Amino acid sequence: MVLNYPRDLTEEQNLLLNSIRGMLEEYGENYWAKLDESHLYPEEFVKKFTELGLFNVPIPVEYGGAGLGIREASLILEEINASGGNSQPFHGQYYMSWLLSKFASVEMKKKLFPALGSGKIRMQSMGLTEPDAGSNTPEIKTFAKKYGNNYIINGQKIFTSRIEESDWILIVARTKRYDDVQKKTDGISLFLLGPEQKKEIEYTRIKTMFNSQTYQVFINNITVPEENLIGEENRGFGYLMHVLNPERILIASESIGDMRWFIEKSAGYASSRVVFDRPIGENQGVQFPIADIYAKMLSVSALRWQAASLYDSGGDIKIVGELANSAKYLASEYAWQAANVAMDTYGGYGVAVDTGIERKFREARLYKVAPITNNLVLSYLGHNVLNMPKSY
Amino acid sequence: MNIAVLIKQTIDMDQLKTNENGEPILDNLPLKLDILSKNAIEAAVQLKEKYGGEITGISFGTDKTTSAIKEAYAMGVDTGVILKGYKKSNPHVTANVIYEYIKDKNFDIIILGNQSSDSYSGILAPVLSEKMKIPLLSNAIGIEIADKNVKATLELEEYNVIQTQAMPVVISVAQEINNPRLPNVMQIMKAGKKEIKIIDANPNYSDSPNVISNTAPKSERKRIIFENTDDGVAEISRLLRGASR
Repeated sequence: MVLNYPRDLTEEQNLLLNSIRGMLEEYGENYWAKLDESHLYPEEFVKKFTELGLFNVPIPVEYGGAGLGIREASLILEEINASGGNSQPFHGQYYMSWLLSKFASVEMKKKLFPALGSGKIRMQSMGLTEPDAGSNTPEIKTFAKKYGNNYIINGQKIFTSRIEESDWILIVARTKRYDDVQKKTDGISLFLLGPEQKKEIEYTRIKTMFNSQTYQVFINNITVPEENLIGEENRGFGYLMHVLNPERILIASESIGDMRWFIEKSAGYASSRVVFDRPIGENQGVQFPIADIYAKMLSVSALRWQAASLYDSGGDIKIVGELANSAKYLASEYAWQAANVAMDTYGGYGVAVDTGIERKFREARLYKVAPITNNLVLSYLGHNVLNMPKSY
Repeated sequence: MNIAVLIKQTIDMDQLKTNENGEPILDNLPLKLDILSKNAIEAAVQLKEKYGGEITGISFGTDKTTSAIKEAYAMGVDTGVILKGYKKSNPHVTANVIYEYIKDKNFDIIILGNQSSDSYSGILAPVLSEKMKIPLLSNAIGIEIADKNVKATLELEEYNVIQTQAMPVVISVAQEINNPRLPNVMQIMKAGKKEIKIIDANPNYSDSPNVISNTAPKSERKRIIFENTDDGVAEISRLLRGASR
């Protein structure tokens, strides 16, 4: 049984949850455990996800979508993780869809949105991080030079997720060199690369500690038509906030789902596992850490909802950023704490693969360092929100 | 074809807990569309898809029943009606309320679950059939239509019976009849915008039986522990063989 908690949802949001729960009943923990062993993409799950129309969630109504918000997307991804699954392999298309709906041309939206909603194409990959830039986005080296009606892009990316599993991808490139701009975030542009360009990209998969499709990418002299530029040239960094803030909120939601799963497992095991003639959960040393995580889950879920609601209502993107970053920071830290509480509660059984604890433990660890490391979230809050000196 | 499907909203039985006296704690439980109502809706929608027609979803409920009707809409029901005033489980009161609404509506088929997951009384279908003076096809696991007749496969304990009846009929369905569809996002969005008719039913509960006690049966588990695994396996194997006979 998946752990529930008090939430104030609309009837439509509850119906959405009912549908996703119905679907999740078909994909138990064994499904995810097998994928974890083989490191394969959850193709069958994503197909069913598409059939339920779930990729239509962020697509505007005028392009045939449901026109729903991050709140609904966050409910869906949270529930998948709370059931023991992992939303990481397909969450990318959600935040990419919000970027498109805000900044892509009408022609591009007409071309991509119906196909994304129906599952004809997938677009769940964003090439941002580079070997020499890491968290310091303005220092990316990938460069797009304009020749006539085209751009020629050259560069290298690392930890680009799901490029193999996408038909369209987003590449972040400089269109003005770092040294040639006063404000270092200027001169960055966003490009959509379609199947034609993707064929020419070279990439190799990076082996990771859990089932994650992430790649090293080499872009050599790839020609991209100018209509594939998103919004205006050189202004891409600002647009990225509309990918990164939704991404933070959704990832916070996945961590909240992970917390629910760890709490459910731990509370169940603590109540049923009998040692010294009584359930181990009778010991405060076992019981209180689980209750502590539950309280933290309620608090960060509320913060995540506040961030999502503000984004959905078109609130100030800087305040959204403050809330979204805080939610991602707390949710990932708490989820990691929950993973450790589950390990402690299960004792030796926690490392046994069959209980599933060690798999979720490995998965939960990622979000302390990705898509942004938690230290950088604290730097952002310290400097940009609390006006303390810049620490990096 | 004019189909009525009767829809019940129940508490979420998965989340029901009992207090120290074994009595159910009913406060603040989430409500959901009953599983057998989902089977009934699915059966109705499949009939509509195959033979055409209109489906009216009817629920004896409260202001909160709108969520069940919206789910029914998302599954394919055309018109939703809430007969408001439900207070507690009493199948005779429910039958009266439903009868008063449907008696002059000329439905060809009235479909409902053979029982509901909260009370499991199974009384509503036969009482309604008696009030309407139309045949009951009970425990259906298959429904087909030919001309003005319904041909239903009815599940009995030892074997199945295939029965043909001229419409109008009441059909109560068993859970085995189908796998209810999961509404997709776009259907949910459309369902949210559809109008729901809400009618005051003014039910009369005066003859309801008085519940003296409602407690969960106590089950003491034996908790037999075998220190020697071989002994345990042998015992489990013996018990399983016994159960399968």
